[in-house]
Amino acid sequence: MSSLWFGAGAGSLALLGLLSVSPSAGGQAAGKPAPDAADTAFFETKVRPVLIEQCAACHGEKQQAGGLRLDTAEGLAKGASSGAVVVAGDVEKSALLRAIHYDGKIKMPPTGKLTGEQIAALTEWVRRGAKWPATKILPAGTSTSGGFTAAQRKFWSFQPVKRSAVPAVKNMGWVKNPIDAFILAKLEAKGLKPAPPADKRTLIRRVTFDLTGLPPTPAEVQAFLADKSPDAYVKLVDRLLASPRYGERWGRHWLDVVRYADSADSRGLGTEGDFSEAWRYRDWIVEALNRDLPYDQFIINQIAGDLLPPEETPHGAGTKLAALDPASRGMNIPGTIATGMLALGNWGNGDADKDKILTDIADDQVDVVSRGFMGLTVACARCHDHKFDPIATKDYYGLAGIFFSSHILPKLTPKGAGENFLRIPLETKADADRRAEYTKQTAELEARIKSESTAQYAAYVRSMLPETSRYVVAAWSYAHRPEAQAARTLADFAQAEKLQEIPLRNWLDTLGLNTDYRLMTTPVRDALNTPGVYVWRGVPDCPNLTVNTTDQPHMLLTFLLPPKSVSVHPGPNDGVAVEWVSPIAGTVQVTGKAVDADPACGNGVGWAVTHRQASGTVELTSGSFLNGGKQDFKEGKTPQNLNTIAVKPGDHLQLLVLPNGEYSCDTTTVDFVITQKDGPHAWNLTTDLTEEPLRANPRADRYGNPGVWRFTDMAGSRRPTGTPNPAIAAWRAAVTPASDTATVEKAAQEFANAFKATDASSPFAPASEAEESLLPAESRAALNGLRAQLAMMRRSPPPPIAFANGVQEGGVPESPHAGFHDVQVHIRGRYDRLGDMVPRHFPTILTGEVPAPKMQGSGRLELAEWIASPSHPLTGRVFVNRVWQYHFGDGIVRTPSNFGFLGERPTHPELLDWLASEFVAPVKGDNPYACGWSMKRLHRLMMLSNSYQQSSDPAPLTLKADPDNRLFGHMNRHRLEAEAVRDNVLAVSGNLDTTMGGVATRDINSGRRTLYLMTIRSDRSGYGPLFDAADANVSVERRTVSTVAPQALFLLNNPFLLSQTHLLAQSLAKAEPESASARIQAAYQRLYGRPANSQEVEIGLAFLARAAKETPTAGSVKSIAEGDLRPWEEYCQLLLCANEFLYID
Amino acid sequence: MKRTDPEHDRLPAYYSRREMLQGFANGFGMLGLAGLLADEARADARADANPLLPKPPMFPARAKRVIFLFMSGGPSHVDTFDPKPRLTAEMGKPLPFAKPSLERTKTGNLLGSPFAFKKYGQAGTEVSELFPHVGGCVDDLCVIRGMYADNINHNGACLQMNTGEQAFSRPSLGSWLLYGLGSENQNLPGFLVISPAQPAQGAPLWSSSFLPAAYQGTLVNDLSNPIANLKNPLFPAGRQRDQLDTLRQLNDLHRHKHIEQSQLNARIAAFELAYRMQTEAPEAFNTDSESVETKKLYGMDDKTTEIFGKQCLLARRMVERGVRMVQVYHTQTGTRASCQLWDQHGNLRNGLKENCASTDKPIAGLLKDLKARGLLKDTLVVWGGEFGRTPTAENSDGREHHPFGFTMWMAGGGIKPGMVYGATDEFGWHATENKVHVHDLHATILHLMGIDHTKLTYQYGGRYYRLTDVYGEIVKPILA
Repeated sequence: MSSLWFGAGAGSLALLGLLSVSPSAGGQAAGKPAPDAADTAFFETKVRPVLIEQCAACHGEKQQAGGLRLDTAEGLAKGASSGAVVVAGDVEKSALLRAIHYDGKIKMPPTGKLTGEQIAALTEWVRRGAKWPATKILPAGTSTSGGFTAAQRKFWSFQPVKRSAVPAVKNMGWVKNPIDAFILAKLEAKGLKPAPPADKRTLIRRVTFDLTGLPPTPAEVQAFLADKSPDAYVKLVDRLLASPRYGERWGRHWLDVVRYADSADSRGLGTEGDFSEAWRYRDWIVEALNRDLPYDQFIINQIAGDLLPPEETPHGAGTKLAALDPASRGMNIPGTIATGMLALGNWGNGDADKDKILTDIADDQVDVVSRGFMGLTVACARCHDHKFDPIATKDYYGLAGIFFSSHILPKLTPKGAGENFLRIPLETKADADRRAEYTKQTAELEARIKSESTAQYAAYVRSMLPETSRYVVAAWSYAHRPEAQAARTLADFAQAEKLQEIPLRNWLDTLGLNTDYRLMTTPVRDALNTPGVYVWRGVPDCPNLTVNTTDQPHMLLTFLLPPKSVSVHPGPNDGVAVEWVSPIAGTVQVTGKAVDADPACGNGVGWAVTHRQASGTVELTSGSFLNGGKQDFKEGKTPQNLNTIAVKPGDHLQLLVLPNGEYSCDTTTVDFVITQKDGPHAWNLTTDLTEEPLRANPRADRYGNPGVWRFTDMAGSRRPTGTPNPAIAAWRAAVTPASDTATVEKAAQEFANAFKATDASSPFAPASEAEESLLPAESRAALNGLRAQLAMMRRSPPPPIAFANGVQEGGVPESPHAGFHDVQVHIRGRYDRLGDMVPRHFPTILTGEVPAPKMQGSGRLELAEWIASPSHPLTGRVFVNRVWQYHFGDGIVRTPSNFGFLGERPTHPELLDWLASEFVAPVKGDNPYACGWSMKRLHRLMMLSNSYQQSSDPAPLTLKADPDNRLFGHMNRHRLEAEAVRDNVLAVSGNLDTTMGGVATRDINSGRRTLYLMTIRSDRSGYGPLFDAADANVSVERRTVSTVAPQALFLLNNPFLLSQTHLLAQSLAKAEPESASARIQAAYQRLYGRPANSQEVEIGLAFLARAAKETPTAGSVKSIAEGDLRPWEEYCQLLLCANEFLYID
Repeated sequence: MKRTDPEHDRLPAYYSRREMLQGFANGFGMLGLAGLLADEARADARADANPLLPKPPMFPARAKRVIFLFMSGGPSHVDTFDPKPRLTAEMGKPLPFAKPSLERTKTGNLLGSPFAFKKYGQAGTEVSELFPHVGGCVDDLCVIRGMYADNINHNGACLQMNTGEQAFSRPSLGSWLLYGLGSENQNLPGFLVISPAQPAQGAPLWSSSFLPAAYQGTLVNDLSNPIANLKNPLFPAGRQRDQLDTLRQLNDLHRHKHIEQSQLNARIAAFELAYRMQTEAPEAFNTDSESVETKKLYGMDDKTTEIFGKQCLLARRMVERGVRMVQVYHTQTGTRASCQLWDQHGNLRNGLKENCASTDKPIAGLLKDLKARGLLKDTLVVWGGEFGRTPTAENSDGREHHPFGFTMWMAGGGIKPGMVYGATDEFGWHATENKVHVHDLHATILHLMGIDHTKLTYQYGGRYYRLTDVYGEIVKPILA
């Protein structure tokens, strides 16, 4: 597939030499030797287009100026009336070249000199013998409406699949099933032998990785070795095919082909501009494989699953859209998810050019469907007729019309904005009706509760109004209590004064008399077993404050602590305040931010910045943000009043984070920076806390001022409101801390006369349900009765709506393509130069004279059924070849997504056809090989062959005769793929988490299979790309295998690897606590599935001895606690680095 | 190689010369050996051989390496390198001709540059007052004033400038260069992308796409910790040497059981390289050893220029060590970081000034330093962004995206110095004279690197792809 241009003297042409086919010779013009594949490709790409486009108008079919015709081999051979125009191989003597160089009297073309590239191409062509291949390929720009040449029609992959006869072989004893006969026949023809059979240990390791991507356990190896029954191997294959790990392994192969990604953008946050529901498609694939969904259904679902009736019926009758009444049609939820294949494309979202977006989306879909299922590169015909294959531009637009008549965008966004992806609610009509009813009923009840509680609260507040001045006086007295009573609690005080504590606290808050919030005083080291993460709290759980002092991000529970950061978490009813107590008199500026650290759950938080002075507290700014949101208090981004704040010593500047109804997912990362405007000092909470997380709270600043930072639990306190009530202002003006009782009582009375609020702003009003204990019993009973009703209703809500990214019928709504319609040819691929209208149809070379079916709707279902037809020449061949490639390392066709002219030819065409015909053949009693589209039967067929069970070490003669193993005379050794490398490590360390499905994780340290690590199109820096995982930007037919040093660095130094090494060493120590050599044996069994030989044990023991000598006695806490585990960690790591661990024979 | 490698002595005696060749001529820091045995090694090359081995150019190259200074967001040409007196004279009047139908938003009337231009150097090239230091180097530059591109949005335009294609995934310029030429230093990534903040859409801009993954650019965003996994936080270094030696013993036992071995050997060699990279890569990225003068030259002593200065100095250290391409994205100034720093829809007067101030001295420093070290003659330096900006005003102090005519400049390896090539119309709207399309720029860069852009191809998905698709003409008048 790939090719390097450098090499032999032929320069750029070396690459073309890789083409495996040599079209039959004939029709030579000037050149004698037959053109090889390189010549042919060169001629077709570089030479013929120039001759046709630049010369044929005057030297072609209609006109032969000077008697010369340059559009056929014969014409060239005949030459002009003046004589030959080309002398093969002689650049100097060829008149044609002189003419195009404008060297002599005749200058061609007369309208203008050819480009340098064109001249060079014709010159090179002459130099190489001016060979004119017989294979007729339609030149660019011409239409194929007139039909195809015989050569095109006869191209191998367009021929119907024939059930080839099984060839006869000499060594019949080697033939376990017909596959072996096909393989052996070719080997014998060359006088070669297959490799000996792989031994049982090698075999179980090969088969287990092949089908599940995981190693066999030592117990599984033992059981297989012990099973001497003739069908031991068959049982092994069947056991693995039945494992749910099979779908995860083989699903990944298919995801490569369909350019699967979990997220299109680096943030991966699931915004509307991302296809964050992609994972449902991935899970559908895994599940489809595990239940062995027949491949024809697999195809139909991915192209048109949304159009299938709700109950999946066998392919055939009853699946037609027209058979169903659209109004009553339920939704096919799995089928809709399956169409994710078409929705996860990569087409340059964000382009301002909306017409280009629409054409690019259709192009992506034409490409993934035609290449993925048919191995046909139809997308090459977007701008011009396909240069190599008989696919006309009209055929491209015939297919594109189907996709232009479908949509994956809800509608186009305004100019300049990125497109949003369609999110399809996965809900039947009945579900939707139920949900609407539920929403209506709960809303009604909530409204009733709201109005009832407002009325009850107001009644209560009215009843308390006469108490106003008493509470005000009490609040003032408490706030200014004598020094000796400093420790007296508000609860105690309220009880003594026969007042309610809650309203009294509210009055303290409202009047600006509140005392300090409660300090968090309990530090916890290494929270959640994460070294370097500290938590401060007061009450047992929340509110709390977390400091990540490390340079690494830490994913804990569901939240992510960024490196070197401070995060806070409010309690059920209580906010958290981080406070700066001014050590200076002067002017400061506040900057900072609050960021949701837990975007995956919760409902956002409220926030405020307040300034508490002796005279009371004012709110400088406040607001709230939704889940996943953030608030930046950067300079210039917030109200002016954060920029210039006059402070006196003892003033508090506070950043408050408050729960928003629900608190459990409210972890919020904060920055809080105070900068002195009239002096040199600055205070940065994050820096101070991450440097020294364990200093007392309150803590001194870095200048030695005591008590500057405080982090506190607001313990139910109400935060001040932004606009002070005039009555409160008058009260504050009337009293000072020095006021005598009479003055205070008088001011309180005046305040009571003026302050008659009965709404929620009254300090008497319960702030929430939690404070309803203030209300009279009958009020509470009334409210609680209603609430009980609501709670009952809420106990059985309709399930949450799930969404899928998929495709729906009709072009993008409100766009020029809305609805169902054919499209015009886009001349040269440009939407602003439209040609003929093309009816929607399938590539003509494949349908022949049969007219396209009438498209119902977009035509996707018709397209899907046509592709999934057992008589389609490409569908079966392409799929069995892909499966063969993953089992054997190479395909029978080594370009699995290109079965066209530029693709390779099958090494075993008869075998390919035999497999393709068995794959689609209905399962019947008389044919043991028929698969009936079952993928699992196909695996079985291949894996039970002797060909599959060969050793990876070929017979020397076979290796010499067939170094590329095109004859499959041995098994190909291969390195584990990125997913299998990591999964293997997790499996042997005993840390593999086999949970299936769901949203992808970003945490490489997770025990989940690598299939579930998030792939993001804009990020190629992660684990996967390092080990050649598929690039989610393109369809990957086959992975490259690179061996580069960064892979070794990962295995040597990455923290994930080291932590797994530790776990492995620990678990081996547990299994074999006593003997070192027994432990080495256990390691070999677990990692390599075999015992260690004496030499290996010796090497291991010697290494361990050296390591023990050099292990530092004063190492990390871990190494001291676990005694002599360090040498074993080092040893286990090198075993994980060994070739035997990463290569499968 | 500049030094003999002590690891040679560690090879077990039973390695035959043939095995040595198969296993270790894969490059991995042993270029001397690889060079000596090059022909034999190439004949042996298989899919699993080191894909980054240096390969000779198709014809003698004028440049061996590229530094691409990418001003992310689209720098305004009429305020930097393309003076337009008439634009200033007719400020406030409408553009006297129709704008193209492809518009992002409606812009207003003509907005003259708020910045003065002045002639610099012997060439007398006019450069804005925003770039006094670069102006001082103008005799080394070839300023291309007739650039044009196709896409009006950052994503598509960045993609085109880096890969040639606007919508779909294609290999980037750096990946094509690595594919075509390999890298001269096997101990460092061959294609580095230095960007403190992510430029628009990230990795697709340096992706290898369908080329093998080894040709992908390596992103360095943390300037102090550039390469992942270079340090083992647990085991002392001496232990790792013992691990590798023991690993080799075990691998040998495994290896000798099998006949076909090239991939196994390649992996053994990769570990040895990794071991050496642990000391060599940190050294390469450590700018502490540079003299005070050098750091000053790049502006690393000044908060305004410190970050981009360090990026430029790293770029020099990399090309000095044989890295094939370094792309330096300007995404962070002393005060702000953004994926589209040069995107002055507003705040043109201050924002553009700040951008220029934070890059001017570092760029000039880089050019002078390269020159002083004799590197400029075969290092190609390219400056520009994904497009320019409208000569018409967006609101009162901004300009919109503008792909129809803009400026880039090149310097060094094979470029004619001290010249201006091409022009836009009198208002700076359309490229009118000696137009250079992005494809032409790419063709020219490949040409300077000794590669025919029409011949560097890769077969994928049924056709041969190249960086310039089916376009691209080499801009011959600017070649030295």
